[in-house]
Amino acid sequence: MKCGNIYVSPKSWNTIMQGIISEEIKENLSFEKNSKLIKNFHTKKLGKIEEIGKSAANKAANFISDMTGNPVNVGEVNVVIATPLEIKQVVKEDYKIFTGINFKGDVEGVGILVFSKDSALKLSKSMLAEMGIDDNEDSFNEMKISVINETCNIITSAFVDTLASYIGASLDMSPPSFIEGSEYTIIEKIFKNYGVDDLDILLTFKSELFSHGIGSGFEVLIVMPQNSVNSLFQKL
Amino acid sequence: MTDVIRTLVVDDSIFMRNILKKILSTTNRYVVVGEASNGKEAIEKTKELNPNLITMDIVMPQLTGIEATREIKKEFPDIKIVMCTSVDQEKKMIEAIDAGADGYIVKPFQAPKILEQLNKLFNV
Repeated sequence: MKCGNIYVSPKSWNTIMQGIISEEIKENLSFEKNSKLIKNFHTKKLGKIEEIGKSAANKAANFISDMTGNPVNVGEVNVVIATPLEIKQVVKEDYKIFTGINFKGDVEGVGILVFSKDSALKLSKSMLAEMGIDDNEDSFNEMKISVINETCNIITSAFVDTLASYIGASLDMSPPSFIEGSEYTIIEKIFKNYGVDDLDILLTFKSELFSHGIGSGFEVLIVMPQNSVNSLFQKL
Repeated sequence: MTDVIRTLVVDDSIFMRNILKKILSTTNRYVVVGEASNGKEAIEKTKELNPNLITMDIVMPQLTGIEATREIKKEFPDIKIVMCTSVDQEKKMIEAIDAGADGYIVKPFQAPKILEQLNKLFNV
């Protein structure tokens, strides 16, 4: 089901529909695991989730623009509700640069920035140049990793703070961690860390930020496991 | 108040510490006497360097900036601590102020914004 920039995968939609039916006939079908999400599901709430994504992406773009001195444009903000299995099916084995930050509190999840190596190098060089540091090496050192981690920190904060404000909560964030590797392997590892199984329903915000200084831009992925999706639907 | 404000910069990001040092170096008023990359190190450096001002990040490994602020303020209530963080949540701000923070600045850092807040704190 696609509604504006919100995509609900076939498996998720099927689960949601069965939940609505079981609620209507007051009989618990065999979808107990997802019952909380289904009970609180409403298309109006999807609209609020989209608003969170857009507001956070714009805030993040302003931050990056301030730090690089270059205008930053926000690509389409997409909200995807899907199972880990469906998400993994579209992820490739490409070598990427990742920075991840966990957040927890009333809801929990992980914010991940995904760059191509070229984009990560361009962004870090651009931000260092703004500070008067010229580093033309095409490899990552402590300073460049710190730039990438700080970018993730600021972008994930923009999402987490917007989310916290919408649900009236206080959310804690972990320090960022920098990882290089295959996109598929890293995404799979993240799902494993959260103990989600292939049929859980996850919420992801996906957006891209483009800047003259960054080149091809980078992807922002906010992944929330099912128990948090349940809480989020309840609180919105 | 001494003429020169001895400042300890605390942030787990070397990049952000450099930005703060660069901003503070634009005036003779603030002298960076040390740096720390986590809350635990911040407490140790405070005892060792006796700064007048600490710029404190919140999200850091080992001990968060809010926890470190609480510890430092217990022993050194006169040291001014300004949270310099990307966390823009009302409840976190209240938590930081309750821990003893004297100010709260949200990233990204712009020199005029930082210096204006710090100068206000020291009546400059």
